[in-house]
Amino acid sequence: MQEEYSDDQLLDQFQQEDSRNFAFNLLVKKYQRRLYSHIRRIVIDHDDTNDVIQNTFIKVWGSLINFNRESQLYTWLYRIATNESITFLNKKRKKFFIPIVDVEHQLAGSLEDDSYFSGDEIQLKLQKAILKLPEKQRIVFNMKYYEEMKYEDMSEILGTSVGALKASYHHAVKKIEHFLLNR
Amino acid sequence: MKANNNTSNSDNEMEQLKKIAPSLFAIQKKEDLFVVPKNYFSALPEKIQELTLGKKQESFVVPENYFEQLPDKIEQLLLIDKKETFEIPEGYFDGLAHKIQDRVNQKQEAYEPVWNWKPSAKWSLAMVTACLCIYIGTTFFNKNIGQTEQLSANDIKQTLNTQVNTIDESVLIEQVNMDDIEVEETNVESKDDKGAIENYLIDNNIDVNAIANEL
Repeated sequence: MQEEYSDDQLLDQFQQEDSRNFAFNLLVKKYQRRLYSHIRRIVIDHDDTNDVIQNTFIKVWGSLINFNRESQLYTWLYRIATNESITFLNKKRKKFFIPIVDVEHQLAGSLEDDSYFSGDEIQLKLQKAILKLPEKQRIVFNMKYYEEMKYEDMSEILGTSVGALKASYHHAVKKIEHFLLNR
Repeated sequence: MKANNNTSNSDNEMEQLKKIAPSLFAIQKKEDLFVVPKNYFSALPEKIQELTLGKKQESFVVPENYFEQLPDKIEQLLLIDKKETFEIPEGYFDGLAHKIQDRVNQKQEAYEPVWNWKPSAKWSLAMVTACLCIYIGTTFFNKNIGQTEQLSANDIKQTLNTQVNTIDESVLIEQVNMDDIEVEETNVESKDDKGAIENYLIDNNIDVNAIANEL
């Protein structure tokens, strides 16, 4: 079992040219699962998630040297992953001329076809309910409900105030509850 | 302490969730809802490494088994005698230094300066005389120019009266030095002057509006 390095240790090693590749490899190993889950909940499809996570780490490689450590490394990584996911969905919309309202429908469809989705009927229903939420609200709900992230960290990642995030989560929960009761 | 706070926050949130969304609360939270292909995460770091670092290496393609064969090739090369591949005429280097020296000397002769004239005493005297003539001539000429500035005011007036129509107005304005002009203060507001101007305008049938527009 390889020793897990702290973020500061990884950043220190990345600053040195001779240990840069090694440090980056460790960073990918450390964060790949968390970022994958975060991206997957936004873009749903595995192949799309694979594209987005690769783009995310390529961006990280290009910018990590300038990371000033004012924010936490993991919130910085999440911010890049979130932006990449949103950019990906926007590009998909443009590419296939899908109107915004149909994106949820299309993603829900891919959820049903996705051989990599292991949920039962109620889980599928919950995912469909989540997909009914507006994009930003959906991201907030996933981060709070599944990842149990602190509002302060979410605020750093999404650039939204804690109060607004709490309100957004509250509305999302009410909408999902309504969907679950009425379908 | 911090862990306890986080736990109590989480508990509060769960309580709130139970209150506002009992159906959602009842659903078992499943973390591994999305299944990932086998060995995906073990292969991902290498894939990322390829994408970030591999790009530079991709542009150079190495033939198959190149590195396996390379040590043998190098060994063979070391065994080959170092043989001079260019033949040199016999005694070439013996006469080379002389040949080069001869060519350097030839070039130096070819570049002898063309202008190597030293003036005799006669020529020097002639040049000094010429310089004196030029000096005297220019001094005398400048003296004559200075005299033109001393023309009398009457001469200038006469010249201007006869030639004023032929001189361009802009040239005259350019030549005027404002310090030399004495402006006589006039009171155009006086009744007499006003009357005189009005009479002049009426006598000469001058359109006052046209003048106003021009101003």
